[in-house]
Amino acid sequence: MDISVIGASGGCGREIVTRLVGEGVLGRGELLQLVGGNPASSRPSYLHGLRADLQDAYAENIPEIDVTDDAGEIVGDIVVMTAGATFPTDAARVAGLQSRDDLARANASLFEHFAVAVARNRKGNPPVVIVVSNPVELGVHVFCRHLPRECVLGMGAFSDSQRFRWEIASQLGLGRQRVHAAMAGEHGLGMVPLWSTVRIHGMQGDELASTIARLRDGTLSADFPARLAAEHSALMAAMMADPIGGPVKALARVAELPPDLRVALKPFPVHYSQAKTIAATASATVDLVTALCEGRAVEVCAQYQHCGELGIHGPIGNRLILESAVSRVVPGDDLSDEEIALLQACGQRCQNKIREWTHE
Amino acid sequence: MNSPTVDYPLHILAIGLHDRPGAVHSVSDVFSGRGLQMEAFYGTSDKLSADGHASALILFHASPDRACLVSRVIRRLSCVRTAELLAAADPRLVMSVLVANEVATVPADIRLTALDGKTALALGSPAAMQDWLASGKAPRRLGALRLDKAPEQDHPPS
Repeated sequence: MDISVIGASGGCGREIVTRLVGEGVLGRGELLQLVGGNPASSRPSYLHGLRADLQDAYAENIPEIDVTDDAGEIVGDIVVMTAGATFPTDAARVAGLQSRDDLARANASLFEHFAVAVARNRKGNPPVVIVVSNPVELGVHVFCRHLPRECVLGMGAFSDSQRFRWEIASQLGLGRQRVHAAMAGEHGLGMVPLWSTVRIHGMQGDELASTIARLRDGTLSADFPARLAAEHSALMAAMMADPIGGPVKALARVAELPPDLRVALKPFPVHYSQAKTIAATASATVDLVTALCEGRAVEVCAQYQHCGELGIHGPIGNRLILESAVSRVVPGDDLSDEEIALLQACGQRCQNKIREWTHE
Repeated sequence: MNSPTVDYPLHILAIGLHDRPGAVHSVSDVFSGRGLQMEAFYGTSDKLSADGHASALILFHASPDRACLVSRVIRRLSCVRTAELLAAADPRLVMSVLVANEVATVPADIRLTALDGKTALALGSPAAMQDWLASGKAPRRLGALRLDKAPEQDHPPS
């Protein structure tokens, strides 16, 4: 497999590239392409330096590393889109925070630029595109306008599901590998926790049901969006009140919440601590890339352009079966009616937002 | 050899290489990694090339999309200076083969030159040459096919 990482000089792009090389996902004879996301970059030599540094670090088993700023030269079988603007990380600037709308307007043309370039030369053999940049739903939507929807995935729900598994596992004192769970919907405040998908290795029947009930602490799926919105407002207000120590206090506050709320809220203090969520996002991306490279059929939860599956329309996170590309959406037989209704509503909201952002 | 891609069109990839160990291996990896078979590979080092630069000509069958992708990937390799995908009828390509010097029907686009009483040299484009050899009207082949690409510029190597 050849992999192209667009925006490889950004924080997340660099981390993904370093992990792909360091973990030996690609072998000798395979191509790792570092694609500059900004033709007007103030650091035009950065990627050339990064390539040399990686070669020095991992010379024993290193793929061919190519550097280009030309989107027309993207050749990867897997294309990871990490380029684009992101929110500022300084807690002191939380009050002046860009909205998701601003982010969408800033990145829409970039998504379009790279989607057109990737599709131009790949009509007969489209790559699999993994959108990491935000708003991830917009990225998926734009790439799907130019490539088959089966070939476009968004990382948001994949990362959120990894976090959901960890939040459940950590509360039970387990390793994450013993917990299966999916966090679907929109990446951000529109996420939909699919508690019906939670499985814990070694637990069944009543024990599993009572454990999940304890974890949920009396919360209901239908109440989740309102509870999340309220907790988010309170959290941001607390961080604004104390730009220096706010993120640490916010992390402590989040730790007291149920697992599904922690998944949605913890990335905010992590981001504004200036550590950002780079390591978790990169790790999840490399997991997904590795599964694609190995050609395994796997179930993942990721953003996908729905066209009526489970009554959903729009590019939201859901459980998918990957067999080199998306082969199908997992049937929702195991989901509750509330969860399906939340997903359908989320899809509708996403579509409305995208229409607003793209003027379609 | 039975190639699963033989029904696809014949392509010729003309590659300018940096003359260093492993260069050919890197190029061939791109083909083998995609299940493409090289029908022929003609390569030379700097010293043996007419223009002083290592080069390779690779014949392979593939769908046009895959041929295009392979050439684009190869162009991005650090050991590759240039990579150009050519059609089998490209006038810059000359295919040659030693054949028996015997009576034969020679198409207008093939040149047949007697070398001695037993041997002749046939020259033509890859497409014309392959059609002729497959037609049953060509003389017996005495050697393997050889492919060359005319240098871009008509001056001696520096």
